[in-house]
Amino acid sequence: MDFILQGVAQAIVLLASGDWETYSAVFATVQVSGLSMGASLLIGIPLGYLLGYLDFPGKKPLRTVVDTLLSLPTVFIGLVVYAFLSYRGPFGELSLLFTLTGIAIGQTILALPVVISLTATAVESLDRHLRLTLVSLGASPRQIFLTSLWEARLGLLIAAVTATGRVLTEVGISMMVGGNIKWQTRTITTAIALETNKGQFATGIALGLVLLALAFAINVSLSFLRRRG
Amino acid sequence: MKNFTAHWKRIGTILFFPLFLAGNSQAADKELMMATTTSTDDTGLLEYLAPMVTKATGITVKWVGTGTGKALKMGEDCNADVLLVHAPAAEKKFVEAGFGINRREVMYNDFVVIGPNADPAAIKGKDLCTALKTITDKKAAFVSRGDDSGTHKMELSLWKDCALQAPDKESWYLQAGQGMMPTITMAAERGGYTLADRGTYIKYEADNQGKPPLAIILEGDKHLLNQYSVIEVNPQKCPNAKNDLARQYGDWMVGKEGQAAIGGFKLLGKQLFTPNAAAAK
Amino acid sequence: MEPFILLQGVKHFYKERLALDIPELQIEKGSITGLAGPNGSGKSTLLRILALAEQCTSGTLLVEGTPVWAYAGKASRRITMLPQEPYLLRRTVYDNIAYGLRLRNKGGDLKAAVGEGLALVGLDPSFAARRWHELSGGEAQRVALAARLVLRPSCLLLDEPTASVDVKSGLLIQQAILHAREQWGTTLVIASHNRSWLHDICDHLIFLYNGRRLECCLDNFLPGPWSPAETGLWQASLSDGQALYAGKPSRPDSNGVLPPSSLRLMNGTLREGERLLRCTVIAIYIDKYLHAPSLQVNCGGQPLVVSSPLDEDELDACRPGREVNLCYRPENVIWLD
Repeated sequence: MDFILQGVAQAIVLLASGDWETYSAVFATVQVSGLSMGASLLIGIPLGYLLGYLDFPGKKPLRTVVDTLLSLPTVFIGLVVYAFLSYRGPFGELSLLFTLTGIAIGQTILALPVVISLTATAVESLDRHLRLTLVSLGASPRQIFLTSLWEARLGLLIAAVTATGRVLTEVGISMMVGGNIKWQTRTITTAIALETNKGQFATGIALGLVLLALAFAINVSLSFLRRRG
Repeated sequence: MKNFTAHWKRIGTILFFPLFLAGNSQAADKELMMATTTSTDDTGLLEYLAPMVTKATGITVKWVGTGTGKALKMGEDCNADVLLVHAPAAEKKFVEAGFGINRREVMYNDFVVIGPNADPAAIKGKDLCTALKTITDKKAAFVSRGDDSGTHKMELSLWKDCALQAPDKESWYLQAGQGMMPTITMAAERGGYTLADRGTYIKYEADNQGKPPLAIILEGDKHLLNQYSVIEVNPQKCPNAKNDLARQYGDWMVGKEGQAAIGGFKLLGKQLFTPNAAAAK
Repeated sequence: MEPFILLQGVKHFYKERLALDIPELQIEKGSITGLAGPNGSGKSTLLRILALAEQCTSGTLLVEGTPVWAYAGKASRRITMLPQEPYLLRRTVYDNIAYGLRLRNKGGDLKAAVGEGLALVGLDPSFAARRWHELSGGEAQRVALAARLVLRPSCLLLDEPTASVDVKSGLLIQQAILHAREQWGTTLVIASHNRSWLHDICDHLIFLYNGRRLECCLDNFLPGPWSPAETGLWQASLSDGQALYAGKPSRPDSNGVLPPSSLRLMNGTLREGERLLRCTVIAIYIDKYLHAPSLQVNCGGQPLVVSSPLDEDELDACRPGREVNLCYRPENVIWLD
């Protein structure tokens, strides 16, 4: 029990003293999840909108596929992305393996089904009178798209936060694709895995606290926005 | 396959160890908990020695293979009875701090510097220190374990022994923070050099059907020898430690029988460990 | 005069079901057209097609002589529609009313335009700051109407604009709609169940039934069921024991119509082939289209309208409350399917 309490105490000292190694992992995490969230929202929201808005043959099976991909294991994504980015793989020349961009690619694949599925649900649950109202007011398809997204903003926010939560806490992709390289691709989660292996609980706990704080901040802002929404 | 079984045995040990403690005190009497390094576990040496130990002493050895750092930590936290590790400096500190007693050298294996067949920094044939200096000067990619393991500590001591500043934030110096095999794979991906224990490299070579992207560039340098010791956890610090069993196990390892067994162990047809206990009885 | 909107050979299907079949329909500029018909008769579908909010399966729609397609073009900016259940955007009233103006990139004073829109539907300017959920049903409907009126549309289509609002809101909405026509010459097409209102304000009434336009009207709607009677006729029972006679329907539950002009007051004798109905006069009124006195009667729970010309003596005999005898020919019953 003692060493756990000691770990927490040391963790606070580490954080307060601005331990550069700890913060390097925090910055890497923020950077890579920012990148992957940006990409997955940019790709996922329009796709999710189309999936929720349009009626086409094969829509139901497609939704089932997307919903299945929600539970895609991170190690599997890591494996596939690794294989594609490896120097023997089809994209080996890009030299993206063991880089933050490489991790971001994997995390984008992880977040995309979440964003697409939840966006589609949000768009589907929009009032069915919305479209007629917008058309009757003379809105073009692009304006219908933008207004519908704004009307579904709460649902989109939930999609973004849920996806961020997954991206922030995953370790499989970061470890396999990123390689956990110190000062470069070491993120909070891979650092925790490593520190535990080394028996360095303090650093692990410190990083865990940062992760908790990030998740907490995101959830608080979400409930704040929801109340305002 | 052997390795596979070893893994399962280890997982089983971790999962069921508390059950043994709780339910079967009779069996637990002759059970020894050992913390050791991944190298001894992954190579299959422990698996190979275990039945011989049981036959000679009646002891059933259970072990957790991990980095040397964590293995020592397990000793400190009284989670093991005996340690089999390979980081002499850290071990001596461990003993001086009173966590361990009766440190005895058992055997050594050796490390090799591996790198791309093309040897981009042209260090083949040079002595180790010149080679490291050349890598630094040319900023050739070098992948470090970076996980506080015995191999990592060994690598850090090499820079120190060669009077070089150990690199940290250099862009060519990649600190993987992972096990040996992932580190070798990373070096292959990056076309870089790394320091590996011979056992893992032999496996890597075999995994790649004899045409590995990385080849042994440097070997045999006196700096590259790796000494293993057995240390008993101090029963005064850890009253639950089974020191009598730990002593018995250590005796066997440094004894004639144990030393012979270690020398006879072969991985893919190659000897890995050289027994060198001080006074084999 | 050239029609503002002309429909030619329009058919619309939902999956396999024919929802609308209009060979031709003209909406004249500045006119008020009423759409009447039971639920599911195709009123809303027709409105959506006219509003360019739905593309008809086949046929053409011309606006001022030019063929147009749904969702696109300048025409859709001049025609706007108030749906039966308008959706208010999750924003303030101000942003709801300004939405269409912003889409059109109309410069100028948005604030003044929104204020004017609110005034048109009888809402206080302070409503501009309210949020969508802070409105009653009637207020929401008026805000939705204001959002259309500020666009100064050439054509305004209204789907049951007063169906689900309180009396006061209903009156304000009716006033605002008529105001738009007076001020800007807006062409109006109104679907409503409120027959007397439609009757009052419309230049033309179009009756829809099962997606088709009826030649006459929906007055004297005769619901089934029908059962076989003597000499090849079919009959439907009325609540007072009388029966209505008609020719053979296609199904026993077919609906029929007896045109008001085919009913006459019996003076003296029943002619060959005619049938008799004993009814109570409810009201006597001037028919807007016939410009002649007409009768509204009740025959055993079945309301009927009689529009055959009446002379002075007959008028005297038809004071409300009196019993009268009407005659009709069963073969004049028109089947709606």
